[in-house]
Amino acid sequence: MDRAEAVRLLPEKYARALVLRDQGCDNARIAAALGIVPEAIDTLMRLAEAKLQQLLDNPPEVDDQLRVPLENPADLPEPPVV
Amino acid sequence: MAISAWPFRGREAELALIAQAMDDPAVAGMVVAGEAGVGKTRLALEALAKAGPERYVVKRAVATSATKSIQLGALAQLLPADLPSANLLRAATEALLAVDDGRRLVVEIDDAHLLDDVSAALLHQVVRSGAAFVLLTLRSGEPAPEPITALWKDRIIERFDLLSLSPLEVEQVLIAALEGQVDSTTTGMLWRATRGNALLLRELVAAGLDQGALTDSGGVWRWQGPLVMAPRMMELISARLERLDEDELHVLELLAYGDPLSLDLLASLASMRAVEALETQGLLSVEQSRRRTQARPAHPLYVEALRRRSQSLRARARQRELVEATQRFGARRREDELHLAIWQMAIGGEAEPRVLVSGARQAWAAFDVPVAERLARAALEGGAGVAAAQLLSDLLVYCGRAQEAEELLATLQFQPRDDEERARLEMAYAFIRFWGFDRIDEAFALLTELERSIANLGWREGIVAMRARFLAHTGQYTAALRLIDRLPDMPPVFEATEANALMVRALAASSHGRLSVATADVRRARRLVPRWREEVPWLGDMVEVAGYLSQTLGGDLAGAAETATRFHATAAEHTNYPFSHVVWCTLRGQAARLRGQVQDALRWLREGWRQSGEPKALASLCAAELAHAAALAGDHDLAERALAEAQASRRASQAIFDPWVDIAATWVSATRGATGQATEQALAGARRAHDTGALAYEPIALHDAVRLGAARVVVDRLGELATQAEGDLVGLYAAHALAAARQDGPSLDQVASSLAAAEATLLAAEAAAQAAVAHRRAGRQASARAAAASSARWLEACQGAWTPALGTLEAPRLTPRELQIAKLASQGLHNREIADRLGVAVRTVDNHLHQAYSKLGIGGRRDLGRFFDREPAS
Repeated sequence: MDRAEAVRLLPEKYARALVLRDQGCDNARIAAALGIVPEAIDTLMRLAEAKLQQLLDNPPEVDDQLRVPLENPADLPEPPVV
Repeated sequence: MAISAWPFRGREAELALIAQAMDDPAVAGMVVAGEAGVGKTRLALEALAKAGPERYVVKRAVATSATKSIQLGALAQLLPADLPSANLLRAATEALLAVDDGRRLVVEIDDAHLLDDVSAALLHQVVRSGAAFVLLTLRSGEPAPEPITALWKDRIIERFDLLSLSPLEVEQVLIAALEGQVDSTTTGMLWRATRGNALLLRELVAAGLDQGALTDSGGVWRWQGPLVMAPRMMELISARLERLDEDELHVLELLAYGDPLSLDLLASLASMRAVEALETQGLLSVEQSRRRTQARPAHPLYVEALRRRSQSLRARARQRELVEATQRFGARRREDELHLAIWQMAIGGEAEPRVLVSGARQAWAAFDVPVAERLARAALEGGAGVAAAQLLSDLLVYCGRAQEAEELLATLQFQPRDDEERARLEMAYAFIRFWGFDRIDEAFALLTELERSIANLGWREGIVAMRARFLAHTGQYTAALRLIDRLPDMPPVFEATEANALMVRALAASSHGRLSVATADVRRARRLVPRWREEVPWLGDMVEVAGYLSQTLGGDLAGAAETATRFHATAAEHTNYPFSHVVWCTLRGQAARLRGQVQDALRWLREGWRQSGEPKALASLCAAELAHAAALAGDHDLAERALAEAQASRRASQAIFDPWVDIAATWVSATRGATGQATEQALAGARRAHDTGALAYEPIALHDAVRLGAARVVVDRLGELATQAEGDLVGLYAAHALAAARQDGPSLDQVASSLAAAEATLLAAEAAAQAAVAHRRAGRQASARAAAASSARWLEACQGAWTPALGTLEAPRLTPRELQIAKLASQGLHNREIADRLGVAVRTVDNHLHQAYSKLGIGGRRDLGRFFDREPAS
């Protein structure tokens, strides 16, 4: 299982956070996209990485139905100007 | 069964985070925020459980709306009753922090947003002083006392938001809670209903168990029927809804009837402030879908609850609003038309039959059968004509309710006024007879009669396509192909007819062995999808079935598995359309079996077999595949039972699938030990395939004979077929037969590799086993051992499958240590490095390696690559 596949198995917001981070979004933008306070984003990312590592260490046998559909991050609306 | 202890799953990372913070003396606390019911309290309790009494003192309190207005109300239980009122804060702090024996103090407060001001200030000070580890849970989106908010806003301590469970995590929870496997549809459904909210999930499962919707059959839990609402869930949700203001409730009610709604449309009807507020609270989500922003309710359960709460007047009022707004905006997308149809049906009165029929088709195309049925019936009541009747009739037949379809048409007593109406009506009857009652001759007779009385070209073509379809399904492939060829080269009048014709030709051509034709036709039919998808909603599945068949019979096992997996995922979401679900469970199971994954196969096939309400069309194929997989897996009881059912439920109208039943019978006999009988069955099957024109199956049956040791009998015929066949697969079978007949070890090795490359892993293991025997007979002991090792390796990937061909195998088992060392050596490590890594002497590594080489029949390290996948040394 590679990283991209594992990301699809994370809970939706963690997955989206990782994708947005990979695309270079900063905390403010990620926070706006996910509807979470900016102060919680650092911990969110840590949890996301921890969960991802868990999946990579122990890849589960997974049904495609369990993969959360991710919308294209490019479609996300612009965050409000803070 | 009661759920006494709801399991804690899916939150290991979060728990570790808190535990780590708790252990660190430099960290003063943590805030866990989240929406109601997400599981904060449980997480906090699990974290507290980790705070062992040797090192920690734990104090815990819960803030409530009752204690909110009382000074120190929430902390009262942790404080002595006789606190001085002068310097209250300081006295309380001291009392709270009093720990006599140097252990670390952990203070946990639930629902910290409900703390009274004094408690909030106290805790704030405690955190700043670092005198204890303060763990707070907090409901996100709710206002909280300033001192608490400051803690995370000013980054004094960390805040993390506990999020809902992912589908995978929900599966883990369910498996633990129900102590068994859960079928994938059920997991998906429960996740979608609750969006992973732990509390709702628990209540829904409890309600399901209570009301018998969630049951355990054969070790697999599945949910049957619609979502249930239990009083407790209604309470939970109602309590939540009560706290919304009127505008917010209005928005949610609109969404309860129109999901999804374009944001623009919603804005024209309701307050945007309310929409934003709901989004913050997690009750609504805004998404982008193909350049349109739309709003959806976040929890289907809320939708259910809202609909139950609204009396009909209120419900109609909302839907009237939605209809008017949509008409003002203009229905932009197809989904809008479906919505419009549903709302108009609900409002009653002025519903246009045309809209209702269009909605019904769409609903069917989306597999929403109950809605499709309701809309079609409403359309008929509203005066819609034969088209609606045919739609409803076909739908009922696909749902296994052919009798109802017959009665429906009889009751309606349509007098066809033109060619179109006559054609639709008679074709509806023909389909009922064919698919519903298996009365083939009557069906064909109806079509013949119809053709005599119709002049309209488009409809004549449609009748030809239907007749061809019937021919293909009954196994009359050459006749079907001939008929399709009679359709003019110009595309037929109706796109639906064109797609139908392509699908039929693909089905017939696949079975007849003309795979390139089939592949091309499937591709063309797919390209036309948007144009015919609503006219003939059932065709989508059939086109993909044809695609799957052409891939399977063409030897593209990986592609076939991919097709089956993809469509199974879609179909499994729609339990109301069991036909689709059974088809794809069956095909997915078959695809798994063909690649040697017998346990996976059993899983999918069991799921398909258990579908109740299946119109029996695919029952025979499903049972046959189940028998076959069970036979390979060694469950002989199941294999016999399933095979009996497969043979009993054969239908003339599904003869196209009969060859698989024959193949299954062969292997049920073979794995029972009756190899002679199995060989006879295989040969008979090959003859039957040849005689009935199911030419693609003849090589498979002959190859089965090769696998059973009768290569000499079939080698000539396979050689013949290989020269005529398309693609490489038959050639491979012929090569296998030749190699086996001649007991040619090296050639058998090659055949095995080729089979493995095609992902027919079990067949590869068998061929390698045969190679081992051939090598041994020729005195090539080393080659024999090597072949046996390959065979063992491939067999290992087959999840416990066994066939007679493998019985000759004496697999050289490497000991775990030998395997480990050999694997590392194959990755390029030197003996010294291996020794270091494993903490053993270099000599030990040497010895093990030499043992391994000897067992595997190879000369040295450089030959190890054959046995291990190329992985970089980690």
